[in-house]
Amino acid sequence: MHIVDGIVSAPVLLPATVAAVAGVVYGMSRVEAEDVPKVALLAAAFFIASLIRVPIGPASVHLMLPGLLGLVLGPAIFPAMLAGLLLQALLFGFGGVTTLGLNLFNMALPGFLIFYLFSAPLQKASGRKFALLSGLAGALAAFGAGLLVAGSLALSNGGFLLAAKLILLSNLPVMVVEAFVTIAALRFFAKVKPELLASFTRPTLRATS
Amino acid sequence: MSARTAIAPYSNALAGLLRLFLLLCPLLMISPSVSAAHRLSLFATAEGNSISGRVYFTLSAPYKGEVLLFAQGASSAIVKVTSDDEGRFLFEGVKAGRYRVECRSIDGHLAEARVTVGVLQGGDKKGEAKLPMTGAEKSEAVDVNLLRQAVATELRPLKEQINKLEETLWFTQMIGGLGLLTGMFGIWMFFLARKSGSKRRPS
Repeated sequence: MHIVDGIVSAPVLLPATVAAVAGVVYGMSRVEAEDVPKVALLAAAFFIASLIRVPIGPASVHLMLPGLLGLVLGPAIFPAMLAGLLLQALLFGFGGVTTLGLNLFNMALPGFLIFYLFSAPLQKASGRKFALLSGLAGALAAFGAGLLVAGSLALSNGGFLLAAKLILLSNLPVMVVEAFVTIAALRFFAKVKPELLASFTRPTLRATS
Repeated sequence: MSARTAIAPYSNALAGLLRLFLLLCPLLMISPSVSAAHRLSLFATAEGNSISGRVYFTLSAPYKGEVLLFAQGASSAIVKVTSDDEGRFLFEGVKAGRYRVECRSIDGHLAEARVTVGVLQGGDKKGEAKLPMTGAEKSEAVDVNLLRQAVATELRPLKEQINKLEETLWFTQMIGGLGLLTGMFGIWMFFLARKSGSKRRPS
């Protein structure tokens, strides 16, 4: 899912990077000091989870947790994922430094959109409905991320069209796993630390404070 | 407000999250033997007139796909082979010279290695004179050839071992990454706390 340096064209790279920078600035402006441990915890979860790769066919896939991060962090998903992606690029050579903005855009934007779509219904839901909505949020966010990665490759170079199709296809099992992980994590949070969800299921942190 | 009172809500939140993190650890720390990272690596050595090697994702998950052989400086491949289920590949009947072995995974990850086949005798450097060799020199050159091959054979397991050692660094780097994350967010929290503290402080 990490796009490497030198394979994406500038018309794809630049707008995505600008959008990612805007996302990071917006996300950082919404975080208060007491929220930082949550952001750090989920950044660490993202850092580890997306290092674990499972080979599927000719591609390799990994968890990204965009749904979980989006629902718990809201706009702060951008700085959280930036930290994880930056360290992955510097320590492991995953993705690249020039594609950092694009990778952030591809992985964080679906989570951010999921936050706006699902946070309010999740607040009101309980039991099976809560689990169903959580799973749907997790799967849709993973699908969105896969779609953006495939789209970035296909738009950059027609030669990557096959790769884009394969990425979408290999993303299907990831969606299922993401759905279950999101259900498990959100149910766990709702049970032991409900304020973890409540604090971020507001449109903006400062708007209501 | 005393410093201790100001820090209390943060330390309570941190303690709660640390407990959560410890509970989530089993989910996150999947055994490195079944998981692998996302970078493509290629290892190639020459023996006689063949080039063999292995292509794999970090932590040894083999990559099955096309491996290309380029003459040094050339942009089009001489020959391509497909690596097997273990990621191993072999180019046979390669002429003496310098080569680049390249593999690009379907999702764009690139790995390459440079290999020299055979012994390039005297006059290898540009402008250096190539003197005809005497009989004794020829036999010495043959010995050098054999020596090169013997050294290459001996070095191969060593190189593979170095590659494996590099892979063990993965775990150390992962832990280091978590430490860096803690530090980065700690610094951010410090500045945010100072900012909110200065806002609350009466003038």
